[in-house]
Amino acid sequence: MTKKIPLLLFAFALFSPVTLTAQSAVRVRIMPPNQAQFLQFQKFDVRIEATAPEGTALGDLRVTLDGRDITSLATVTGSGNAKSWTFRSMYLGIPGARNIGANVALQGSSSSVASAVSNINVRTWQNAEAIGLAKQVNPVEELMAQQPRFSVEGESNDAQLHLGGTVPAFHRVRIDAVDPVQRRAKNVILLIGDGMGVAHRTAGRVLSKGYTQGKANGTMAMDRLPFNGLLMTSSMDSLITDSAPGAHNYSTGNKTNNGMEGVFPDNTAAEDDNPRIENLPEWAHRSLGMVTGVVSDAFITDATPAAMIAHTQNRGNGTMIASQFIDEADKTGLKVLLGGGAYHFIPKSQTGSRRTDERNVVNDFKSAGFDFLETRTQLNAYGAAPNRKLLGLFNLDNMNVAFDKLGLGDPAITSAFPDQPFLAEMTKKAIDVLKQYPNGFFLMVEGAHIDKQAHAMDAERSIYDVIQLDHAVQVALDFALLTNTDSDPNNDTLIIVSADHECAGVTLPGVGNPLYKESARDYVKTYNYSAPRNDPATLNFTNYVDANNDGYPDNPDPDRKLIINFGANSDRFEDWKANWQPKAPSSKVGNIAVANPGDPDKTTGIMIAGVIENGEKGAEGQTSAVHTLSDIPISAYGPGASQFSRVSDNTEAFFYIVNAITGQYAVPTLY
Amino acid sequence: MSTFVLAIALLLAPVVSFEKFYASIRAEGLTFTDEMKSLDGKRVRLRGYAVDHPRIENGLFLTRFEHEDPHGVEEHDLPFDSVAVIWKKDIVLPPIPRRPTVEGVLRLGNRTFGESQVVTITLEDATPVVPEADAKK
Repeated sequence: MTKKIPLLLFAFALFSPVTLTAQSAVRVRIMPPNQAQFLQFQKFDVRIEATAPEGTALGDLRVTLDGRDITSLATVTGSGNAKSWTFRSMYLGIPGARNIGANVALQGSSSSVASAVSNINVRTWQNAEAIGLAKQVNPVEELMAQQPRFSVEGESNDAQLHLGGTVPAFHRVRIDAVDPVQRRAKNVILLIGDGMGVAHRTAGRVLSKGYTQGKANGTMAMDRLPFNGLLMTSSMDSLITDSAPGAHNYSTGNKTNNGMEGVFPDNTAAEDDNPRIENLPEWAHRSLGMVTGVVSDAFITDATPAAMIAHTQNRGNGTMIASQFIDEADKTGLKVLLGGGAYHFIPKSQTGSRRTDERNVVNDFKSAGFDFLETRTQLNAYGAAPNRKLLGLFNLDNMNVAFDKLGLGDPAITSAFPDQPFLAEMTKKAIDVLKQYPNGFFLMVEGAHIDKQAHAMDAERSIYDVIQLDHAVQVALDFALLTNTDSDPNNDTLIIVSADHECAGVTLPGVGNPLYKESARDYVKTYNYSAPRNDPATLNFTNYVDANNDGYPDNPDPDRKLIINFGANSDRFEDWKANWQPKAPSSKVGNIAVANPGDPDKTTGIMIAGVIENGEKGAEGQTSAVHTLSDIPISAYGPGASQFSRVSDNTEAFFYIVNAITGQYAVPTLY
Repeated sequence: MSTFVLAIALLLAPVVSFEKFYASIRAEGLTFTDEMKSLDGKRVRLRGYAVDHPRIENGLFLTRFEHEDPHGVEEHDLPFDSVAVIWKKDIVLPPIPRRPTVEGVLRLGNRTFGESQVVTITLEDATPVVPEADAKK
């Protein structure tokens, strides 16, 4: 009789396809995902989600850390076919490979029907103890007692600890045999040219410096940083990243899905409840008392600035992001915020607001002690002094680009906000305020329109902004050269210039010869083989002039101009001449994206066929150029800069920055 | 003849333009001009670049400068001075030129389309005004 039971069960299983299907369709997802990396003591949330088809009742969800059951540390929520387990603010002190496991059973059963494991890596921070962080207790790491390779200091207390009630006390981490290393980089300035690939930088150099006999007449500031490498940029859910995970890597050391910043994905619609990752400003402020500045010429709630100091699964939720900026300023150490996008800071009923509530975030900043500025004149007159905090919003919307601020486009474009600063001025003032704080600062400066204008395939408006960013790099470099060469070894500054991804597949096929003003095709000159030798008039170089010495070409359309093409494009008309006003490269006819039939270049130029989805077979038709997978250049100067001199995943940049701050980086080996 | 033209002109809705919307443009908000305030609720004409935006049904947006078409994966926000146009019910629309003139009832005040596209000015009950010269562009 007893022997028949397994047989019966087997038969039951065999003839119960519904149950089998239900079981096999049960999914468990763990965040942080496999391959996530955290700094020792960097906080992160853990969320485990089990989902099953409609009508299937899930039973117990069991969670382990390194094989030890930690289910009771957090509460399981949900019921029926969707359950989740969330633990906020976990941090791990034991370095190396760790794993989070999860199993789920069906209701009424104790056997697991689905499981997942997330292998994560905790990276050492050698002088954590020297700085005092290692003394912090961690309710998760009593587990260390079972792991002999780490020494653990017991500490009795009465805290309610869960773990099934079996572990009596907190334990403290003690990392052995580490020389207390001095902090190294006191300040870090990260300048992000949004969308700035190699070709954008090259084009910026050609326009701002020019070439003679094959050699550049000068270098841009970003060219002069001594250590250079490449970063790989893919996001967690696509080979091609957008600006949210493409900047979140610098602030968290992790990947996430497109559209998200400071968080991992979850399965809820709420945009503020995702598993968070402590970002660099939060970590540096909590651990070291550093302060933070964020500067961008986009609307300041845009993806790159928000990825530094906000946490949301929707980069488009400007109302929430602006609120987080001030609500979490005590955590991020935010002292300087400069950019556009005031529309997310003023109450919904105020004309021009784009908030969804009546909160006046400008007033909240003022109440928190921030000085508030609206114009370039006010910014340049602002006197920095100890403990000052500065909010500058210079446009309701995106700030205008250098090309228009310089008056090269239609003056009507800047007429709404005629007094907007350049990035270099914003960077200068940000540094002046931040350097008054005793424990150093992290400053992110974004040149946002290198990307935005590359999307619109507006070559001049994009590349003039590479030059605008480079002027900000020079300001940062001037500051770093002072701090890094004076007699004080404890005030040094790390400068990093990079991007978040390449935008638009920019290529530089040649020089437009003088025919470009009258011809559609016959003028992009490449090798110049046929030119008479030794005749300077026929050399194939550009002839931009910068008579007013402002660093930008006075005339964007000289006789010989650099041809800047966009390879990751939608259909467009192109005559290579600078655009007096912005224009739409493509528009939709029905569902199909076509070259904008109203483009004035239609009569003066050529149609360049696109390569991305245009919607003709029902895909999502795209009407502008897109980001590409090309690795992005990264340049660095200052303590720890040598770490960047290799091909790295973009998440490594976070750890390089932390290493530079803590002094934990190897001197490069020369081969 | 000229009297006839004048009579027609008087019947036409007054023309408004982007540069005359606001008396004050500041980061802390916008103030409408007295002219705009006096026209609130009345039929007006406006010419701008047409943006066929996914967030507006039975209508479009007008922008002062031509704007990147917002279709695609990322739905781009429009400039702060964009105007929403809601067509008259059951209207049969001719092909809309790239830079149409539109007539409609002026409504001042913030209004949200879709989840997040906010405008400060709406033209309701609108009809396109398409002169021959425009239609050819």
